[in-house]
Amino acid sequence: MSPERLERELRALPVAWPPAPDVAEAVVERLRAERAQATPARAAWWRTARAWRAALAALAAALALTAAIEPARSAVLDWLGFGAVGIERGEPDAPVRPLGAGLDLGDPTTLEDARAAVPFPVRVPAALGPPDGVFLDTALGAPIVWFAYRPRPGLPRAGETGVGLLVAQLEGRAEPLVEKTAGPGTTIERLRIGGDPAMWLAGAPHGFAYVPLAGEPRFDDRERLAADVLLVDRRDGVLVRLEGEIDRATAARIAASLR
Amino acid sequence: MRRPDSEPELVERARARDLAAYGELVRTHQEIAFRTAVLICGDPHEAEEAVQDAFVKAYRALPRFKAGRPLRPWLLAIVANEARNRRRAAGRRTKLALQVAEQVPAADHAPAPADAEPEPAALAAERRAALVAGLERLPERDRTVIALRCLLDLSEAETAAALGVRRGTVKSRLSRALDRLREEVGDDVA
Repeated sequence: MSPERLERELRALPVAWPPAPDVAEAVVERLRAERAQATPARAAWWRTARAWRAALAALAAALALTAAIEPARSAVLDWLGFGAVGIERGEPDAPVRPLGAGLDLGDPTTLEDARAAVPFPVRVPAALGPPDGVFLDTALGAPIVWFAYRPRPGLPRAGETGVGLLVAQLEGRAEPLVEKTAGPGTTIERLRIGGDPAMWLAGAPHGFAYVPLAGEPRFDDRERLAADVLLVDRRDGVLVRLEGEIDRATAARIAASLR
Repeated sequence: MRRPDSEPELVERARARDLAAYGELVRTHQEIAFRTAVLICGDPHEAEEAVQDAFVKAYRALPRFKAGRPLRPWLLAIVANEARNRRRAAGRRTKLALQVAEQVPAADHAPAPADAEPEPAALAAERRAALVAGLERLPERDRTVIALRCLLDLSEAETAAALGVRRGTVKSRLSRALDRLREEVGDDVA
């Protein structure tokens, strides 16, 4: 029998699928509840902002009083920022776009929350200090924590991402998939960082393949992936990935400073 | 009457945090999502929870969905991932949680004459049972690719998304799996 015939027979099998439950309402309810939970946080922010505004107003009033006879009064008020430009008229709900938003890195979060959300230690490169943007990506199963750093001296703006550096951390291994990740035109150099095996990928853009601690290999081929990447298979089971337009030595120095 | 919103419009509204629009998207895709989850985690109850969680996560991930691309493969990847995690947590080998209907659902055409030979139907039923039994004996990986592609009729791209592999891998995996199934059901492989 031909494989085509078998395929046709399979397609014709009258499968008695279990009835699909209607989850739409439950999903929307959960999302609505999530949204409602997020509101108190904003309320707290707003209370803090209000307290600040009151304090500033009091201070300004006091200064204004002492300065009432001074011709420079308005200058003092300007210097204080009275009228509290940012606070008085600020939209409490105005979204702040963190650095790295739009790069498909996951949900924006904070370093603290990211650390609480993943089962592995999240480290910060001491050579750079705290990241300018933190994201948690759970779309591919094993959670990935992403850091974005602003361009600065020594970290030029990368053409692909528009940021200075991206750092990803996840529980998994780059080996043995790294060879597959690299297409033709990508070179792989092996090195060691703090005793851990590391790979420097340079040349043509490539995807990001890795083996999560649990589960099947993953291949992440979102187009934003840039040319030069350092992968470190740390002995504690965390895979660290640095991406930016930096040279190998700089990448190695940053990776070695993870604390 | 207002024309119903197209999917890209619904996606756009959902991205702007319109939960009603998102609810519509869920309703559109929940059946295929549920069946995919059933095939992967092997249990309708687990599948339902996986689908619910997956849709909640997909909403949070919507800002990352690239506008203009088909939504279904993207959703199915998230659903399949949830289903796999649940199966792994349960630590069980899934059985093919499917049954083949006893009879093909009655079609609109006239009933067969009473004196029609029952033989071909019986043979077909036997053949169907053999195929299902053969599928049951296949390794899970083979079974899943056949089920997604042939029973659920997902496209190659959708199957690739659900399995988290590339399209080429789906092609080769399916062809190997079909070969094994032919051996299982005793078809001439030559």
